[in-house]
Amino acid sequence: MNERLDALRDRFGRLGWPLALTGAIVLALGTFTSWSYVATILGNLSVYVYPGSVQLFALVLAVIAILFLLMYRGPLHRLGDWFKSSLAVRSLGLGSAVFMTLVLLLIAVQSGGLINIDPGGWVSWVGSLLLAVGGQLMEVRAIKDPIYARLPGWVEILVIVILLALALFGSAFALGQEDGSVFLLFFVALGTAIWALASCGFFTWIGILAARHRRVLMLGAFVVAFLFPFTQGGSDANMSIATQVIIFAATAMGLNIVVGLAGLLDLGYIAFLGAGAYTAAVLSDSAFSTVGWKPPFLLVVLIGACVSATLGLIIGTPTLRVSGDYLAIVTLAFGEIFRLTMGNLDGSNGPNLTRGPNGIPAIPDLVVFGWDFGETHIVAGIPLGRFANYYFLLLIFAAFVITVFVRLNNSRIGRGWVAIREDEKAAEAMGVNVFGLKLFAFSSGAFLAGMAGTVKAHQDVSVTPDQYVFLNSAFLLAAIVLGGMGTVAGVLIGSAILQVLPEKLRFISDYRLLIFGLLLVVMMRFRPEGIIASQRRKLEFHEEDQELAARIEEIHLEEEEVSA
Amino acid sequence: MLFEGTLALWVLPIMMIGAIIASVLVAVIMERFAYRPLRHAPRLAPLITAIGVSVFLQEAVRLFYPGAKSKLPFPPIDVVTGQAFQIGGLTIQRAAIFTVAALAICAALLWYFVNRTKLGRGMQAVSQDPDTARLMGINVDRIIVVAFIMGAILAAVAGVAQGLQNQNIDFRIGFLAGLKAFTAAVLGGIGNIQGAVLGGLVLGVVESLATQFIPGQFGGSAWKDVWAFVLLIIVLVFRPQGLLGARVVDRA
Repeated sequence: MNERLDALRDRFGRLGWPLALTGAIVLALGTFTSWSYVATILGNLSVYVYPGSVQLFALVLAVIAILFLLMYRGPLHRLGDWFKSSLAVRSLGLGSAVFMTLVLLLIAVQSGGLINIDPGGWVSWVGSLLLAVGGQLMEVRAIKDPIYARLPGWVEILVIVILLALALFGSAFALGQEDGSVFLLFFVALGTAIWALASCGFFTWIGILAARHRRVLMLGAFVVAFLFPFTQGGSDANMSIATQVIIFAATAMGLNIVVGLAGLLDLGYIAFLGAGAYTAAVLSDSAFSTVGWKPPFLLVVLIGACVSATLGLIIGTPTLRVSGDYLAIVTLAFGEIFRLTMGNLDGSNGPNLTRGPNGIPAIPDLVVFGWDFGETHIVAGIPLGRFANYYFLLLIFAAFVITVFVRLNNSRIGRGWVAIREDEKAAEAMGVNVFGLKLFAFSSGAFLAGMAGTVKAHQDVSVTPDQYVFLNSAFLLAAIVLGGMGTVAGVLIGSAILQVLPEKLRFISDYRLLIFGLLLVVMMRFRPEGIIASQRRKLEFHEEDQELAARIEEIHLEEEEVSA
Repeated sequence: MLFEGTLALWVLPIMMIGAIIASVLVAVIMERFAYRPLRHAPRLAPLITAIGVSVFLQEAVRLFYPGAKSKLPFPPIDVVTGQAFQIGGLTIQRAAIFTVAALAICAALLWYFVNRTKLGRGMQAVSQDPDTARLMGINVDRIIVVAFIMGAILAAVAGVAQGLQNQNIDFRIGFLAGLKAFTAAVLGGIGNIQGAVLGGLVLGVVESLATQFIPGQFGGSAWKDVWAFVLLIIVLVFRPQGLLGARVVDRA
């Protein structure tokens, strides 16, 4: 396949660039005309003269493609020395062809026939196909390696700020889409753009930038996350999704310590979140709580986390002697024990602590330092509703969890975990305290999950055993696998994808789990290191790839250099 | 559905064969597309794939098997599920006899297969050291496929037995059954057929005894599964090689 493509490139390589440029221009021009005869599909695509709705996505893709083409040959060619622009064009071509095909299919399905597609739609479709073919024919041309590209410091910081701002408005825009198909198309377009940037080496360069301006990036990311509620104009619908994402991400980050850093597969991790949530519930002011003592919330957080960590110790001490498949099944069994126990402590099968399958409902909203989380507050003229309040609190939690994660990862403990993960026996022989470190990974992961659980109880209003089934443990694991084991950004992205997609794509809701299962299998098959791969992970999964090893070493040395 | 209203015994073999064909097909397909490509991947990868496959299969049944979104009645067969026997003061369900008989036959056949046939010995060799086995001229890929097929056949028989016993099935029964199967295997000693049989029997007896004899509120049937899993953890702590097993092999 590849050889045949190479032969074609040799023969028709000269045609690649003009073909792709024509395609991109045709695609862009097409967006200014009507795509659909019916005006009510995918926003409104039936307007001539200016692009609207999903046409804008296509236009943006086309403009990016034109920019890359001009880097390849033309006024921007000096930028093209640094980036593999032809690879970006290839990705853009394939992506926009998929995008346009999807658009036409959606129009045809939703309006009841291909007949409703206006000529403009076909024009753009042909443009995207030309772009795809042209991109495939273009030879790779990049003279310099982007990891050595240097700009003045303030420009680099500006790039980071711009990217973060794009992330802020992009996520606000994405969450604002009510129509599932428009959201899907946005997702495809965004994925295409990111793929293009990744394949031309842009993100490798960003990685170097991030290493140099780590503090700026961390602070900036936090500020962006902090500003997010202000873009919502008081709407609580999207904030509810956003809080779900953060709880999920914070919990997954804890699991990431266990799975991603220490390499212990824990399939009952949701139980620790549950332990925190139940602790908060029984100590809350709920009329149904079964314990008379009502400590202040900050104390509850600590108690919940400690209860959870203690559970982690209790379950970890015996089970961490076994490894691999055994550990996975034992933790799975532990998760089941937790769920069944919470369902049984209802007064008739055991002491009444959790009210059994009914759970503990009516948990009141938090009031911390006089700030009532249940009420809408107005800050800078923008109303912030109930979920926005919890969002801010959770953000602080998430920042804490991420700090713990990063600090542990870069410490003696973290290196011990890596050693255990890669070869337990060798680590032990080198004097690494294997059992102690494993136990510490287990209980610190449990501690963080327990913390997240205490907030979740208040945010969800009720706590029931069926929130803590095995499937949710699998979801947490999937977030890590999808995003990239052992990375912070990966887990955040994985959590966001797993939480937002099912919310927005309601039409797949029944097939959600089917797709989820398939996704795990496909990820392990084709990209086991996840969307954002930690370099070390990548090598673990591709042991025989010498080229990759050399490249990763090169990048790593450069990162060390700039951050020193 | 095909033999609606028939209670005759001749349906049973057809049922068995159908079940076996279906699960063998699924096993072979998933081995080929999900597990084989991961043969040399780090150990976390196949485990995660296993979770994905199990969720996928469960959901596929729920979505595409007619009526599977709720419990389905399992077709009765008069000889196997009919009136229970009364011997003295004892009541013995016919399905229980069938299950025990199926267990005995399957265990004996499996033992013969693993210990007496060429393929079975090849399987032992592969499990001990795949690389050396390959050097000795064993087709490792084929052995692994056969192992998947054997597993699928046994699981299919167990599934039919469980259906006859409980008289209804739903798409989730595999989860608990799989977990219990692992518990039984660990209890008896992994890689040991007698051990697995003994482990399964002990697990079942312990569950029943626990619900009967543990006093107070922690007794009742609500705690049955909890005690089973507690037993699993206790075994792993105090006798990780299982009841009959020799030294446990490190599966890391």
